Order: sequence, then structure tokens, then C-alpha cells
Amino acid sequence: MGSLNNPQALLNRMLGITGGYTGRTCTYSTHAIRQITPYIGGTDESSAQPTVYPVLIEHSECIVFWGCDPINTNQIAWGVPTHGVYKYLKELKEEGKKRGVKFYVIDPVYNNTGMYFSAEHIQIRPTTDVAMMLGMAHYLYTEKLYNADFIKKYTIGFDQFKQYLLGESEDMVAKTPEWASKICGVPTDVIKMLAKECVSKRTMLMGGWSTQRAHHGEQPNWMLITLASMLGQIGLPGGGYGCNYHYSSNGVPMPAAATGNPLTKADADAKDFASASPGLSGISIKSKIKGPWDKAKMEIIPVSRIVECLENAGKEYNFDGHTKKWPELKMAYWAGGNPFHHHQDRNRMIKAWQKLETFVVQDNFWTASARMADIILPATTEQERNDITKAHTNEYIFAMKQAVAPAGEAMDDFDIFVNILRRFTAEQVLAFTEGKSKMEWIKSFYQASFDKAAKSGVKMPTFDAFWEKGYVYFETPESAKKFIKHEKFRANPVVNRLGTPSGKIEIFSKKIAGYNYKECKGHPMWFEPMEWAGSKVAKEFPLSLVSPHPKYRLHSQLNNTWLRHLEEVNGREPIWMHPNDAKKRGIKNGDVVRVFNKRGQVLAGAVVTEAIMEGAVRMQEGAWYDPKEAGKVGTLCVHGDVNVLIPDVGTSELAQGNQATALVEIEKFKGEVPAIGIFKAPKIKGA
Amino acid sequence: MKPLKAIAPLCIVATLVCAQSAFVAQNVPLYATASDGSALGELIVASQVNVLSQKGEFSEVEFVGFMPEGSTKAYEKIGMLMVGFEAPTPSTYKVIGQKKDEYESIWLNVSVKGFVKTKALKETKVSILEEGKEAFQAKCGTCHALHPESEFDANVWPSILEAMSPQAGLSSAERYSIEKYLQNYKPQ
Repeated sequence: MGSLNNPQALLNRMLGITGGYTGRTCTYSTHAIRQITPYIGGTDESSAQPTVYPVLIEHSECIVFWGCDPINTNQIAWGVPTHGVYKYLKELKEEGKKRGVKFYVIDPVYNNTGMYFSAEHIQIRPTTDVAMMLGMAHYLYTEKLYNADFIKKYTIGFDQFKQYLLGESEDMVAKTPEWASKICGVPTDVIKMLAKECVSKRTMLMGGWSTQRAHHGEQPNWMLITLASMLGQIGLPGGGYGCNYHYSSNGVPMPAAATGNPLTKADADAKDFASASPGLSGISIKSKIKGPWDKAKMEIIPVSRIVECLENAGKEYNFDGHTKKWPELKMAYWAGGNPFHHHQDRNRMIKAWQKLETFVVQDNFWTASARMADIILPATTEQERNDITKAHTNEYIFAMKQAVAPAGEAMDDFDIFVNILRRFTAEQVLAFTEGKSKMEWIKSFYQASFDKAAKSGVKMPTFDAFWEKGYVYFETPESAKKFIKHEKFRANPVVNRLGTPSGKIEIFSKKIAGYNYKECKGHPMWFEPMEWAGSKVAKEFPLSLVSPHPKYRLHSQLNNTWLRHLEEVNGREPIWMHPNDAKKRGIKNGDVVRVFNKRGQVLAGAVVTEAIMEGAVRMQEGAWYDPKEAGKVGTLCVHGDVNVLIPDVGTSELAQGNQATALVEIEKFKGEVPAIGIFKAPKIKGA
Repeated sequence: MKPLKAIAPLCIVATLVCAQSAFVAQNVPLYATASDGSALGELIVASQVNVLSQKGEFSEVEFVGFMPEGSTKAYEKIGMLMVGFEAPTPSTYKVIGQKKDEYESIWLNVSVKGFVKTKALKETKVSILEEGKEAFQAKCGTCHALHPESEFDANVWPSILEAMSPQAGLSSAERYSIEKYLQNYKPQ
């Protein structure tokens, strides 16, 4: 996206200079994991570095992909993906064959990663992962297979959890493998087998983020860490857990930071300064130029609660230990995002959006969000402008050179905001630009890296040489290939205490217990989700829908390109269903079907496959919303936007996170299949 | 030299001595003697020290903090991972007592004395933390949306910064500056 033309950073910068705004905290990707895990392990497990692949390749004996699909999702990254992870995944597969490493995939779908590793597929009902983990924990405890020494030395609160596990507190139900099996659908003997396998082999539990994008999404990561604690391999080479192997090549060793401060111990440890990256700055949301904007007030809301905020201005809500009030929003400005793709419960959203007086969208394309806007500001794509960026893994800094002239009226995001501020004052324009042209900004980011690298003895070419060549490469030091998560903590948990109140892994959290939330208590628990295979809603809508990341696009990006033809069925987003579920409904492979529940209805193209378990269906997120009647609540989406069907209810009062699962019913679509309209530019009245 | 300029440093010194306490403006070596000789370790930005005496361009200071037994880092407060001083070995510190926190963890109350350049000291930490705020806003909102300062507890921010420092290419000084700003943050 570029260090300069980052639409979100620039939008914040512009709105700050004009007087303040309501911003957001959390992300749709990591809402629950980011809120819960700091209480449990003292860090945000969505971003914490996991044990690196070279260590797994050498030491792991069992790898469990729990609700994650690294082969698929590592195609993309937050920064520029360099795909180094695939080399390591290949090595892991090859070494795994030689050493007899066991691979398991726990998922309703036999996903890309399962296929790649020929992993054993454990089919689990959507949103029941905590029940299965509890069943494993119960078995490990009652069979005395768990690592009591690890629990005693490195965790607190196991006793409270144990009472719940054994049925001596709260619901007074023992969480036996038999109990778990009835909920999660995994046979009892498989639950026991996996528990034994994990504890007897050096096991890495790779947890994904799918399990936390569900009602009570705080619990799965907490329970995964609790289970890993009982296995007792945290901090050992190739064992323990990691919650972001599926994301942005995490687990790939990367260059150390070129820190440029030779007095510190950290620098003394970085033996090889040539194997270091200075990183790359970008434009700040805050101007360096002083002015009244320094005093601008910034309100924040948990990002996925935007609709609740619109509906309930002035009312109180609970979030992460605090009680706050929803601000009143009259105008929304979206730059570089597509809320009418990534937000849930589309019909409720459309209704709530009508409360806004003005909606501004700044984008490259006629997305569903752009079509809802009062004011549309066309922005250039990366190919139409100059910028600078870096690889997510810090191995490269890249020149992003303009390849073509901007199309139509499109302007760089930077220029759009400058032009808006020109309607204010010259001081505000100056505060935004800081007196620099776009190329001067780009050069300044490079120069800051250059200077920092020079202090650490890392040589970088001049800007002109870099711009000509197109990139700078930074080596990864050997030391980075040995990183083991929690190694220091295991070596000495007193000195290397975690960032939790106790300094240990908190299986019981006094802080969370003190919030007295109904749906997030002091230790991990099984809470029945609002919609799952065992709930009342399932009588009317019996199919459990999951909505994973797409294979051929980045969320909704690229859905308006030829890539959609690689997967679409009759021009509709595919929905995977088991042959038995299809047969019951008279549906054949390739049929256009109507997927519906009380929230809405969408068309989809049936893919009948045994890669999905019976009772579950899979429809990727990101297909563009294409309403049969634009702006009408409840209308049919003729293309297959899965978020029409997914509830917009917070995970719990702790994280207020978003969901990605729902219960639905499917029928063969009768009548003439409507044409797709979303990929044609709309007609502009009076144009 | 104009008289005012000559007097100004003396005024600061006098104020610091009177106040008996000061804050470290950036990460600085704590020297064994009043010279640029061998360092006992590093005082970390925004930490409070007691000013004991003056010697030329140096001030003799004492840092008092807490640490788990065997640690090389001493923290500003009990149970809080706000680094005040980093030493090469645990023996650098003088143990002056010990306390237990609510989780029965034992914290040694420690002290370390040495010399710093007087110009590295400030009367209050307001402007020191302001620099951390500027670095936070400049470095941490360019790739992703800027986290609210209140998002994580004081004890959680160090691990967040540990994970993010290589991504953002932060120097140790920048990292500590941002860390201390976030750890000291109080909602308005």
C-alpha cells in the first residue's frame, strides 16, 4: 500500500488536523484474541513471535493445525508478502515424512493445509472447539498424563479450572471426552487418542483466528493455552503453541532490528549487524507541526461494534473491564476499506447506516461500500503512483514506482486530503504536508532507514541507486533461526516473568473474574454459542456455516477481477456442502442455491464435496454484495456475500468481537437466475 | 557567554539538589565515578532517581526499585515491568529489603548508586513522556491503526513492543521511550 499513501493513516491525520474524530480499536481479524490473551500470557498472541520453522523442522513430532490454514492464508500478508514461509512448509513436509511427524487438521473442512501435509482430518462442528479441548484436558487430568510440574511452576489458577473441568463447580458437569464428543461431534476415542498423541510427542499446537471469530470467541485461545500448559511443552524446541502461524509468514526467521544504539545489551547480543534491517517508517497520523489540532479529542469504539454504536448513541456498553457510552455519529468517512464486505448482518447494517447524514468513501473501485456513499472520491491504485514499502518480514525495502498514469479523475490519497484541507486554512494544509512534496516524503522515509542502518554498520545504497534498482535486501542472521517462544520464561519464570499480574500463565484471571461478565468468567469455559448445531435455532436452520478466508482474493479485494472465474459457480460465490446434505435437499454440484436464515438471503453456487463434514457448509468471505433491489433491507444478494447471513453480536462484554459463523438453510434456487450487476459501474444521474 | 546562559545550568542543578529527585531524559550510562569511565549499567528513560550530590558536569544519583531475585533489570514499582535500570549482573544492585506481592511473588527492594551527566536529568517527566508520545504516534500508526494507549496494561506493553520492534525497526532508545510513555499513560 505504501508508506505515504496509506489511506487509514492519512485519513486519521487529516481528521485530526480538522478537529478530531471517533476512531477505532481492535480489528475484524483479531478482535477477541487481542483482547483476551494479554490477560492469559501477558501479550497479544495475534502478534507475538512464534517458535521459528527451522526449530519445528528439527524437533516437532506432532503438529496440530487447529482452525487454521497456513497454506492458504500465507499467500497474503499485512506488509508485502515474500512467501518465504512456503520454503519452510515444504521442508517441514519433507522432514516430516522422514521423521514420521504426525499432522492433524481440526476443522469442519479438509483445508488446503490438510491436503498439503496429507494430515489426518478431525472433523469438528463449528464453534465447539473449546468443548473438544476440555474433553482432552479432562482425559489428560484423570489419566494423570498431564505435566503437573509445568502447571505448578509456570501457571496459576489450575485448581479453580480443575474444579470446573471435573464438574465440581459452575455447571457441575464433568467435561469428559464423552461429554465433549456429544457437543463437538468428534468421536470419544479420537479425543483420547489426540490427547495421548500430543502429550507423548513433541507437539506444536497451531491455533488459528477462525475459532475466535465466533460467539464467545475469547474462550478458544484461552483454552488452547491452558491445554498447551497441561501438555507442558511450552518453551521447549518444537513444542508449545503459536497462534499466528497462518498469518503474514509468522514463524519465518527475519532480520534483527538495526537498532543503532551500541550501548545497550540488546545490541551487544545482535552479533551480526549486517544481518539487520532498519525497518521503514511511514507517514504519521500526527503532524509534527504544532497547532490547535494537538488538542483534538479522539473517541474510540471497538471496531466491529459500529452498527451497535449507530443504533444506540448515548447508551452505555461494557468493553474489556470498562463501561463506556456510544458516541453519536453523524458522518462516516471510509478510506481504503470496504465495510459493506467485512461487517456482519448486512441488512441490519443497511438500516443503521441510514442514520448517518453523510457517508464518504475513498476507493479505487465501485465496491458495495462506494455504492452506498453520498460522496465518492476516486483514489489511485498502487500502480498509478510512486511510493515506498517494505516486506512484512523486513527482508526488503521496495520502491513502488508508478507504472501507468492515473485513470479518470483518480488522485493519490495524499492529494485528496491536501485538497480537502485547502478548503480549511493554509496552516492546516501545511500541518498535513509539513512542507514536503510526495517524493520528498518518500525520500525522507528512506533516509531515516538509511541513517539508522548506518549507525549500526548496515550499508544501504543512496536513494537514487535504490530507486533505480527497486529494492534493498537485508540478510537474516543465523541467530534468528533458533528462536523458541517462551524459552527464556521456561528457563527462569521468576526473572523472565510474563506480563500478566502474576507473571505466570493465568489459567484463572482474577482481573477477568472481577469484571463479573456473564459470558467471560475467571477461567476458560464452554459457553453455548447463540447459533450452533446443538441450539434451538438449528431446528429451523440446521446447517452450520463457516466463512474462511478466500483462496483467490484478499478479503474482498480482487473479486472484481478474472480471478473470480477460477472458483465461481454460475457466476456465484461457491458454497461447499456434503453430499448427504445436498442429496437431502435435491441439490447437485453446480446448482445455484439460495442460502438463508432470519437475517437475510444470498445466492450461491453449490459445490458438493466430502471435503466438508456433514452438517456444515463453507462459503468464503469477500464476495461483493450485490442486492437485487439496492438499499432495500432483506433483499436477495444475488452474488453471495456471506456476511448477509452472519450475526452482528459481540463475542462477549470482554472483547466485543465479531463473529464469522451462523446457522443457515439451503434450497435449490427456483426461477430465472438474476444477472450479476455489482461488477458494472453504476449509472450516475445527470452525468 | 551571556550571564543568563551561564547561570541557567546552575539553576537547574540547584533545583534538582533541592528537589532531591529527578527523571532521566533518555537511556544513559550510570558511571561508577564522575567521569566517562566504566558504566555500572544503564538508567532507562523517564525513571526517577534521587540526586545525592554534584561533581562538575556529573550528578551522583541513586535509583531505588524492585526486581525478582536473579534479575539484571530493576523495575520502578513492585509488580510492574517498568524498567528503571539495566545492569550486566544482579550483583550490581544493593538489596535493601524485600516484599511479597498479592501473588506471593518475592520482590527485592534494590538500590544502585552512580554518576550521570547532569544534563541528562529533568525535574519532571512530562516533557520526557511527550517525546515518547511523539515517537509512538510517528512509528506505531503507519502500518496498522494506532492502538489506543489504554488498550494494554503497563505490564503487557513490553511484550507488544518486543514483537513489534523488529517490524518497526525501533532502536532500543525509541522502544523504551515509547514503552515508558504507554506505561505511564493515564486516561484524561
